[in-house]
Amino acid sequence: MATKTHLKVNRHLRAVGLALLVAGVTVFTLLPFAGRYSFEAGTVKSSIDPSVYDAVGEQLDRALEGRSFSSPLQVTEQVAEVLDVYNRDRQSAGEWDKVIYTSEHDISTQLCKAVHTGWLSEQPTVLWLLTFGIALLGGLLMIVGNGWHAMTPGIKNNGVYHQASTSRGWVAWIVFPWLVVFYLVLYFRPELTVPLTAITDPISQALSGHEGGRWFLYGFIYTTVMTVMAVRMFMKYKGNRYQTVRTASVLFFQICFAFLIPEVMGRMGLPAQDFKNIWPLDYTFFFSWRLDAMLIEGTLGIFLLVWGILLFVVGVPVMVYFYGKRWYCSWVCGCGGLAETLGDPYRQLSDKSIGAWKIERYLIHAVLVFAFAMTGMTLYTYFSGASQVFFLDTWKLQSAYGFLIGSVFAGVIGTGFYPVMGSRVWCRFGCPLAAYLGFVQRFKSRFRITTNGGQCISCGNCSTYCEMGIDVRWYAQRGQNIVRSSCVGCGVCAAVCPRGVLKLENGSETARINDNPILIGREGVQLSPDLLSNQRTMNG
Amino acid sequence: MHPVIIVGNGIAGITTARHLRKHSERSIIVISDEADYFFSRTALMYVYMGHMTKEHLKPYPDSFWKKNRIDLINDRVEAIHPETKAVHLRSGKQLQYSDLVIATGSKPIRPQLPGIELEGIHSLYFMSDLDKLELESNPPASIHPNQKKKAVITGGGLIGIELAEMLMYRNYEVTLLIRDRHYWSSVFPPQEGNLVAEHLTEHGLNIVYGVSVEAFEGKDGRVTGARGSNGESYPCELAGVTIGVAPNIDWMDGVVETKRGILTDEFLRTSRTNIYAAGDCVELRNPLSGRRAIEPVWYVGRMMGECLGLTLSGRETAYRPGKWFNSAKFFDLEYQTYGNVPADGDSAASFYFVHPHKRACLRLAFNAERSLTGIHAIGIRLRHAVIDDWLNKQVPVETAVVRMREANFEPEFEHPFEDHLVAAWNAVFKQSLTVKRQSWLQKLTSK
Repeated sequence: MATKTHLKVNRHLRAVGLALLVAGVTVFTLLPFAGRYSFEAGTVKSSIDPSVYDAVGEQLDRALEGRSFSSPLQVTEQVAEVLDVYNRDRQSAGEWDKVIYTSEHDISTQLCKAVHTGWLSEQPTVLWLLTFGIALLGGLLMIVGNGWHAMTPGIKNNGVYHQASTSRGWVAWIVFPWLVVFYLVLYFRPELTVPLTAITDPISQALSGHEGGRWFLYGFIYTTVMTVMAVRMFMKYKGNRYQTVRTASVLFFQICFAFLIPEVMGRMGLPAQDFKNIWPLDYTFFFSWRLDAMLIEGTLGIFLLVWGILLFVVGVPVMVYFYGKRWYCSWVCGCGGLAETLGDPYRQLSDKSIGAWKIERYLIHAVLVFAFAMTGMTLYTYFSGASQVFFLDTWKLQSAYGFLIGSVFAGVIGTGFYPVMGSRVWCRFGCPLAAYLGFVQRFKSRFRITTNGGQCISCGNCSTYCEMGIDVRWYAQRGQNIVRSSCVGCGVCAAVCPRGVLKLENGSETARINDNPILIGREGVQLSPDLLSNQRTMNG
Repeated sequence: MHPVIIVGNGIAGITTARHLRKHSERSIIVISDEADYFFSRTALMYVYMGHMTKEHLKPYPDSFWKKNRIDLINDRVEAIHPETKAVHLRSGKQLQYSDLVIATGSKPIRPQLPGIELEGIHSLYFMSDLDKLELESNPPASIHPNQKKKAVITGGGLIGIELAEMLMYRNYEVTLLIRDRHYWSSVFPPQEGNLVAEHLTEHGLNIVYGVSVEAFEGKDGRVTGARGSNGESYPCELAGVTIGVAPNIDWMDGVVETKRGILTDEFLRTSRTNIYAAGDCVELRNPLSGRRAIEPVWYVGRMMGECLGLTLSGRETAYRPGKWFNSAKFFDLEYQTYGNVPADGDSAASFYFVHPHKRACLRLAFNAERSLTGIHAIGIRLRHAVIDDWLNKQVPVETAVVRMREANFEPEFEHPFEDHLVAAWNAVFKQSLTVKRQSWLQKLTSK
């Protein structure tokens, strides 16, 4: 039981934790503006791709050598000018094959990486402590300080709508733009991440033997944030073993499959692959550079190719048939993993309106069609060598998909919008794999959320805390099983139900979808023999 | 043809309207001055505790009512004129009806105690109770952690516990005064009562047994304490009175025959033609054996609404409830009950089982023929359909014991308890029953 001293200690823990978290994030946010970028003779040549240097090396040398910049963006400006002039000349000369398609940001990132100096960047350990170290510790303290007195089993949603962070209050309106800017920088201004990658590159070196750059930085942030927030999940849902096991599972797949194994493969000189990422979520799977990398690798490469294809041809339908799409979305998937840990405090912000459901169905299936079309053209181009189908250019379609879906939708909106639109914006409105899993779940699966007889009191906790925006109460209060393609099976509706009305189950397909639902309670209102025997055999 | 007018937009009135619409084209008007839309009364506490907002209380989107042609009027019925089949509204309007449904629910009982008129003495039933509580109590604890105040609640039923949980979230030190010797003795045998009380105490609630409030003390018109029947004074800044509810019928005195509630037959007809009643405000003239004449619970209101909706659409349907069921939650401890379990806990006719891995218990009650008559489940979720079937078929209690897996509605990965249940049963009754179960392969492929 919580004593007064406990409560006081907890309050201090939370306060210290918050201070550390804010301090760590502040240092992290300011770092891109620290340090200098000074170019000496020869640095340009040694830091960028030889093919680019052959084309514009001299011009870059002239623009940069002997100069010093305080911001990576200034370097980018110089690069952009050089590229502009060069590309315009090549285009007007009709030399299309000589045009440089590498973006000024990528070239600038390579340059900045090579010349970045500053008293801090020589101290990656100190920097790590000042950013990741104190921010992660702060987050942990806040979590422990929240839960210490509430370590009894039970649902801990007290105050969710009284806190500015979780109810679209002022805190959310700070976190939201911060996250959006973070993703915009990560995807579109990578040169700004150079001082940050200085922190994580030593770790990358140790793991894979080479510098991982911004994608290793992102993976490291992703994994550590998930780990800390998983601790929060264990405490918040203490007493609910489904939540505990599920959280442990997503964390395991993130740490091992998404983070460590690809690094180790890289170290062994193999094509790094996240074994649990499935096409079409993994939309580059059939891109020529990935296919080539697998095909030149011999037996292992062929295995990777076959594994990747088997996953969506056999793995998805079979697993969804037996367990529902939850086996992937809330047990394995990385996007789902972040949503179920970092996103959990925001799950109640998903829109439950019928209008939102309508938009969801149009949007997610449009993305699925887009993914199919883009991949189809990719394969056509790979095998035929023709870069165009009718008037459509494969490469342009790929970049459009990568930009619109891969970066803006999945990243900037998908995670950036957590604090205002809830934790599953991408999974609900955009993920083509979720759409595919959802088809199987809706039409051929043994999974459903069972509504328990007549026990529903229409309280609305289930709908409120559904991250996918499903109006669970609509079904529960009329005695209907919930069979929806979007349901990721997180189990939180069942966890927050105060009357034991909902249960996630895999069982016979007979009467899984009951279109004429009844509420038990009156004489003459009885389950059909089918439904009753179905209920009976559910636990074996 | 004049509309069906339903007075009250709670679960009984709204269910009547919905089922009437499902089966007929009659025009429907629902009148209430409590809230513009139907809301979940049972969830008021979750708004106060910050789990939800008021918007979340609405079980149907606002567009639902127009789409289903159910007219909602925010007004108050002040008089009923059965001779002219009209109701008179506070706004001055007069509406004609062809059938009238009274579904005005309950209201909290306010005992005539000295000081009951003081400010700061709260009940919890109406939306306005929530607003008043919000206005007069501590803001959320997370914002003002140092404003620790005291609260006293009298009445140890379900709403008293809800109010206690609510106030504790808002940083009150809550004392619950209970008249009985153990918690909820009108329903619980001592074991269940004590198990729940342990849970409540562990969460910081002070429970005082055998004491009722004799008077409220106050200063400058505000409550400052409650004087107990034991002579002791319990100081407080806020008090709760949750000693039960009574049918909310004073407003319609004399129109139809009433006792404690509106007297109806099994078709929910009152003493006047074309006037019906449903829900908490009903007092059945001839309740089924083992059932009470007034049953103020959500499920009964809903079932009456289903029947009345059908009746008013031309398919006369008597209200004949099946096996009793109910549910509640005591802080983090869920409770479900099915059938009939005597509160005296006669050990000759019931079997009490404590879960080995968590604070939870089951009680299986049975009759002289050893047929299962009822179940209490605390901290364990059971499957309504299966238990209901067992009770209807009057299965032997041993059947329930060995087949409890079929009724298990616990979340996946939860500790199974059925082996322990059977072992405990065998130990008490000197039998050697075993659990029947399927292999995982059978489970995976069951048709």
